[in-house]
Amino acid sequence: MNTTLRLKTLSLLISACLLAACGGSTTEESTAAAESATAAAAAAPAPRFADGTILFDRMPGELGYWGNPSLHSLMEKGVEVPMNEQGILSNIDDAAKVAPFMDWSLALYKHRQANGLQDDPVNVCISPAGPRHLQDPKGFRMVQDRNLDRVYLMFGGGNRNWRHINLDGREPPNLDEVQSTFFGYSNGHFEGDTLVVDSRGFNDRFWFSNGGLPHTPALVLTERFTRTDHDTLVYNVTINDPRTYTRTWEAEWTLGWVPGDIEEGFCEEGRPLAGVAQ
Amino acid sequence: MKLLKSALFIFAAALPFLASAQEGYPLDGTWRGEWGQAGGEQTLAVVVMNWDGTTINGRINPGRNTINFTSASLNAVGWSAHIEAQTREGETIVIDGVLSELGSYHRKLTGTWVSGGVENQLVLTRE
Repeated sequence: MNTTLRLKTLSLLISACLLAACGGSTTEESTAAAESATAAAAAAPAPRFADGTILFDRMPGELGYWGNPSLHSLMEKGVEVPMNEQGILSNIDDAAKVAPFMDWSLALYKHRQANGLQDDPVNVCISPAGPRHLQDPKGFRMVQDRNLDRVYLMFGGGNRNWRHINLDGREPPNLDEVQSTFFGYSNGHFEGDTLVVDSRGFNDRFWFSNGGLPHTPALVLTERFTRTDHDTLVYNVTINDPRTYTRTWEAEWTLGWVPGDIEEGFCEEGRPLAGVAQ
Repeated sequence: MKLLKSALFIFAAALPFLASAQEGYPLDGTWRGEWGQAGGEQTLAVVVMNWDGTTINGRINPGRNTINFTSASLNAVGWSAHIEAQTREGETIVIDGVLSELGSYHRKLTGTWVSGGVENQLVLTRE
């Protein structure tokens, strides 16, 4: 079924290319044909392993990764507040709507917003982590290692870092007994087609969202990854940090499948992330 | 001497990395500084603070003569901190300070240290 749809999509794409190459159509028509082919691809179901488990990464012979997040900063689900791609609010008076802040965290968020995020650790090449990596314009891959029962999240942003999610049924660590880290400790399991991940044990040496939302080492995330079709990944995260927010809260965004490979890039301290030869 | 030079070099090399971390609760961490009269002898102080979501727990000069906080608060409007602590002998210490360089790992808490009824100047830097 998947193969049939993929072949259909491929043939549509080839047709679109041929139309353009033969000069038998205007640029607008070619674009329309390509868009039509893209729309057909969007309708393709999410690929699966032979046992029916959802495949979050590429099919054999395919190139692609997850990118183009529909939201650029953490924001409570249901709230709509205008901000730019760095998470800077159009109106600072909207700050309190973004999340259920405590007094101190709202003040710190506003402070970071007001100074244009100049204290962002990313500026000195300290990697983002937590949900922020999943809003990075450089995108990411989710590689399932079924031998080790793990999922690797491989990021194009920061310094092309990676984190892993254990799927072997182990219990989450006791926060009093683990060394906190940038990427924390992630254990996951499937609920239907959704990969549900408990992530905890973070340090507070990074910003876990664009826009400068604060967190403390008490942060615990429940992340839900759902590939709803071939081209769409829904990411839902519940944030529980009782030292920073007055209650748990939820954020959600979608990511699109980007054909091709992640652009190679490295962080140079004091400079924006530089793209290297493609 | 050579060893000292090497240690200083390593410390200096690590400074840029140390200077750009700790992004959570602004008072969390270990602070070191001095209190005393302006122009007079200064006394070293080490203050350790930890926010648990409702209370700022802390102690002054951890060790044999630890002085535990009895109360502490941070007013996010203006980032002013108020700390009260009591020595084993029952003497009360009151610290009032304002945070500066908020975005820096080595932010500062500058204000007063009152003990024995005398007001002193205080400067603490987050380590």
